[in-house]
Amino acid sequence: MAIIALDLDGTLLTCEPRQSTVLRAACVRNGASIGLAEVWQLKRSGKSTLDAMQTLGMPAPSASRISSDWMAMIEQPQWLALDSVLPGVRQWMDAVKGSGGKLQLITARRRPEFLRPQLRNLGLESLFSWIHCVSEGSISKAKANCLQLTGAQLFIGDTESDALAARTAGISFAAVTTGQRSEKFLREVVGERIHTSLANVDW
Amino acid sequence: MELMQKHRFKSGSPTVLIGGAGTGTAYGIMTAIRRVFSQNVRIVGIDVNPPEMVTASLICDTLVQVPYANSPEFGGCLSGIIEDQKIDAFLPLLPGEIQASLALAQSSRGESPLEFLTGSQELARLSIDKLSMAQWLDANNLPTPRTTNPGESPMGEALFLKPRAGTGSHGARKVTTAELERLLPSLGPEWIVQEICGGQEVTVDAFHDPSNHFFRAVARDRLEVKSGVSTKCRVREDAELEALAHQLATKLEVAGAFCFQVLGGPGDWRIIDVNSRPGAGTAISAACGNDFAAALIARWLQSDYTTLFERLAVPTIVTRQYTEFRMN
Repeated sequence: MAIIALDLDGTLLTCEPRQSTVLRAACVRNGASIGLAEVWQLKRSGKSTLDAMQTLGMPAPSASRISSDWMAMIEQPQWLALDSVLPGVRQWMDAVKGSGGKLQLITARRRPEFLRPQLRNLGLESLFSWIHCVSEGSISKAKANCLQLTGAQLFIGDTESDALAARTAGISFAAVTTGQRSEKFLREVVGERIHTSLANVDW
Repeated sequence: MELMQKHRFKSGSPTVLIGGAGTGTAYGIMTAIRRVFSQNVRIVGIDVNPPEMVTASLICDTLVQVPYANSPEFGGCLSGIIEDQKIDAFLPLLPGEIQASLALAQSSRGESPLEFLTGSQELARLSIDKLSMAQWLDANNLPTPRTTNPGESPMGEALFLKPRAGTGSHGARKVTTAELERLLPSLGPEWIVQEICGGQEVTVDAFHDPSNHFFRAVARDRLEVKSGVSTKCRVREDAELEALAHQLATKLEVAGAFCFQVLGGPGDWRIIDVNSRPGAGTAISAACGNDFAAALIARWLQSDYTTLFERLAVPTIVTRQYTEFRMN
């Protein structure tokens, strides 16, 4: 029986609409503006929100203020409403479950209290046999601990941090390019099993 | 979601003007656009308040402060915004905005490069005149409570007195026949009276694309209503109300999203209000996997909207909670 662990943001759910819209809101309330598409492109190539804004020429104090604001807002429930389930994800999850496989969710959120309500809203909660949220700190280490604890055989995620967690736990990893990092970045940094979406991952 | 035919748009990006930006309806529609199209659709909002007083200004590209929609300056101001902001489509929400959109459509004699996202011109026209809507429903054999001018034939001991052009139950109240007699001299043609109907109140969110023979509707039982807007709902499939919605959409030649309220119960529903746009509660249906507002925009952009709907296996209860936004 396959036990597969999944990351959430960027793997099962869209992440760009919320990240860009919240950045727009943070800029508006700080009286600034920035190219949202350019920021997203830089983030896909490995930069943080703060680094991306500074790369695009925003002065450090403004970038720092907006980045802090962005961090404070990004997981508030009113903004979580901007997430949606990526195409093909539900069918893929149903197929795994239908063949007797087990799905686990291992995600990093600073506001774990809003995780289950969001999963319920999106019709995903009941598909998982185990849901775990790691908090700030060493996310990859915390995710690795979870992977070891639950006996997952494969971890699927969208970042280098997810790849590191799988490697630390000693299990297989598959990356998807639907999220935070581009295919080019993942090829350079992760270099293994890279897929254009979860729907294309063989398990 | 992929966007097709970018050359269709005046500024290179699809640009939609959304009226009443300070309303919950506008905020819900803008959120739906950002959720599905992210920043690929340019959103311009209009409101009587300055941007820092309008939550939606945090998520739209531009928010323009305008005079009240029923003021004489509004029409000229609206035309200027449409020109300056290179607006491709207009979704008016408030009655004055709908009135102005009808005037714009009429002045262009159907040759306007502006698309109106109000379902149909006939629906828009009727949606801001409850008496005409009631007469139209009656003439088309669609069930509606008896509705007349206040001075016309009596309808029993009590009835509803409401503004002919009102929205969201504002100004509507129950009056006795005796009370109405007393009020009659002060009531002008802007008031109507409606027969009181019993039963439960349900909103139907609907979407129709006649060119692709696609139709979808869900029923929202209004379990709690505050200021005319549902705050607790049960969202469910209802074949009878779906059929009623389809009749309405077909007879009014609706292409897009609309919503209406009914009163009564199975086998005896009566239409009490019809809107030419998604409603303030339509976001509740989106929380159950039926995103009517996003589908409206997707249809305009010729994108696939079918993925924005899903059948509800069981009735789903959705509650709403107010939330706070710091604006500066």
